[in-house]
Amino acid sequence: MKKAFQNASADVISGYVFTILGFLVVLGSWAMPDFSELGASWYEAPGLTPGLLGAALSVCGVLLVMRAPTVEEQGEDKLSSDQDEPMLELLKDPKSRQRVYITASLCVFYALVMVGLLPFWLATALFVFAFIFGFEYEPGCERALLYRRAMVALIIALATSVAVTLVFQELFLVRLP
Amino acid sequence: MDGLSMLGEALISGSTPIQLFHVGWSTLLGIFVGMLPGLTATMGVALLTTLTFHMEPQVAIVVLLSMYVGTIFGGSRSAILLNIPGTPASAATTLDGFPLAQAKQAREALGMATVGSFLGTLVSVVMLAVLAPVLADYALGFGAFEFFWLAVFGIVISGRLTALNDPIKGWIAGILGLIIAMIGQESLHAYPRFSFGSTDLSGGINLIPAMVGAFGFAEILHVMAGKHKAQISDVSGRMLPPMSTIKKYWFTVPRSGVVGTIIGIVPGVGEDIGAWVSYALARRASKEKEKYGKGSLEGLLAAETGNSAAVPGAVLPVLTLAVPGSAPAAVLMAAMIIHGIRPGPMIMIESPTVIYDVTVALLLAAAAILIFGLILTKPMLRVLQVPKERLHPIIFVLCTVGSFAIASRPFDILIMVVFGLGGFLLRQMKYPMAPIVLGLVLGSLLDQNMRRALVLSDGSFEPFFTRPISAVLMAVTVITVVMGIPAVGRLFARLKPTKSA
Repeated sequence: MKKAFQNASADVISGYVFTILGFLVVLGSWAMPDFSELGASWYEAPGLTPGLLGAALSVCGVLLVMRAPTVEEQGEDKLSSDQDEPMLELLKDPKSRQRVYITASLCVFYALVMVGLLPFWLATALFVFAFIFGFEYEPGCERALLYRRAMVALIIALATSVAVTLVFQELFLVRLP
Repeated sequence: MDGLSMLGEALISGSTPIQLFHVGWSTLLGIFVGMLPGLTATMGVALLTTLTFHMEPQVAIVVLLSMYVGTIFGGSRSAILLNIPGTPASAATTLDGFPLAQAKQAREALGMATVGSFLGTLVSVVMLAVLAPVLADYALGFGAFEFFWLAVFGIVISGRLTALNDPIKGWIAGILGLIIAMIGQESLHAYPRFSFGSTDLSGGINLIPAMVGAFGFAEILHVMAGKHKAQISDVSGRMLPPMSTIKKYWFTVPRSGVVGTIIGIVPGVGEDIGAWVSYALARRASKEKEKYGKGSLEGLLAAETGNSAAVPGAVLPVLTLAVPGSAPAAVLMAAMIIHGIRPGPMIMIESPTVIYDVTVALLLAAAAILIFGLILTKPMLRVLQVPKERLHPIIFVLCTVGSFAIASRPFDILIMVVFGLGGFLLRQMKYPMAPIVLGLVLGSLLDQNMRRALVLSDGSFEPFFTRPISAVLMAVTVITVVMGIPAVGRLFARLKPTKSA
């Protein structure tokens, strides 16, 4: 029961978010020029389609808010694997949540900060090393094992960096960031 | 027959050693990508697109199609051996595949899945070759009004079928995709919508980085968050199912093949739903219902035939209507456009050989999965043992490079990251991804055709409802929406007499 309630409240929140987003889209579309001074008719206005879509999103958002408390009425016929996993499961469980945060921060930092700031091969090698060693590091484990894991991470990091640079840049002539 | 001779020519030119080599490596790569949980068909096709820039268009299409066929098949390997679907398309395969593996029938299950995938693709390829020219010819009669309704219908049906328990979420996802597609310069006045003075945003949201984010990065987050360490089942025993088994379940193949193809053709509804619907139908018609979910070879065959048949099915509307049948097909369409092929009703006039090249490529890829599936069991096991902590940083590097490489725009890397994080969050809240993608693709089709239609009718809405094809598409759309509203569904359930079986 508690889970159903939590899911319903998550739906209510996302429903409100989409209602407001839809409304903002309508406002933004309304503010667009309609080029009537150039002789364009109302149906040629750039804001027409996005305005209608914004309104549709708002309506769906309201429907979601209204419908949310009656969720969890699922049929017996299993037709989607997504039903196996409860809503927001990976963000509710502290351990999973931590792993999501670590993965997301490492990836975002690499893609948006390191690439562009450092040469591509260096950024890639550092990222892959930090990712592998970060996840395989266990506090309190034997020093020899730790060294071994660090070496493996380093080898994979360098190999990835060299291979990606060679394959993309030299073999397939694709520009790298 | 013109069509037959073109098919013959395509078969001859498609069977050269160099073409076979391309089919071989890309299908094998696809199988590995599909096997590894977190690496989806969409991401595989999107990343491979960047490597096809300097290839001949025909070769590029062969490579990308083989990758698509390979990944959907590859997903069954991990579904059977690990109980984790390698791609969402194999979710239904786990239901009977894994219990079979636990009962020491893993090899037989792998063999059955291989045969099912092969036959499913064959059935669907035949339907593609027959239906594509007919549909393209029919679609030549489509005008702005029809294309408007086709776009609306695509979003509505995709939202409905990818979120069966909660269609509103499917529709929200679809509308969100359409709104994102509005960003950037529009076609009539070149006005940059929602770009807030940014040149990058006025260029619009590129499909491939968005897909790599939603299906690559989001998937990496999903897999890395999971705690379970998978146990690989023991693989021994016979590989090919005995003739008596195949004879016993033979009808499953044409039924699942046709159903999978039809589901594939429906815009934005792909292999996963193809497998589920085909599985549900097989269970309903089966004489051994009690075995389903406990290790039924028939159930496994239905799921694998269904998802593989959806692949050529999903390619069919790409070729004839420029409307993708699934998320990987959307990337394939983007890749075709990059290579100068214009999919859509004009395809039989502008490049009539493409349909037959695609048919042959799919046939060869089907043969490749049969061969690889039957002989390469051991190396596949080794790939499944790669720890996710070591694999996924490399995949993320590829996602970054792939997003950037399409247009050499650093902005596309940002798009990939935003779609990845947003996609992960939306998936956690049970919003399906496929309608968003379809919305992204259909946004400009919807916008251009709606305004063009209104220009043609001088602002009148009448032709939207009175032209015959428009009226049919509108009626189907309205029925889908009305039936998707929970209150109406409940009303119908109450009106229906209670059934016992």
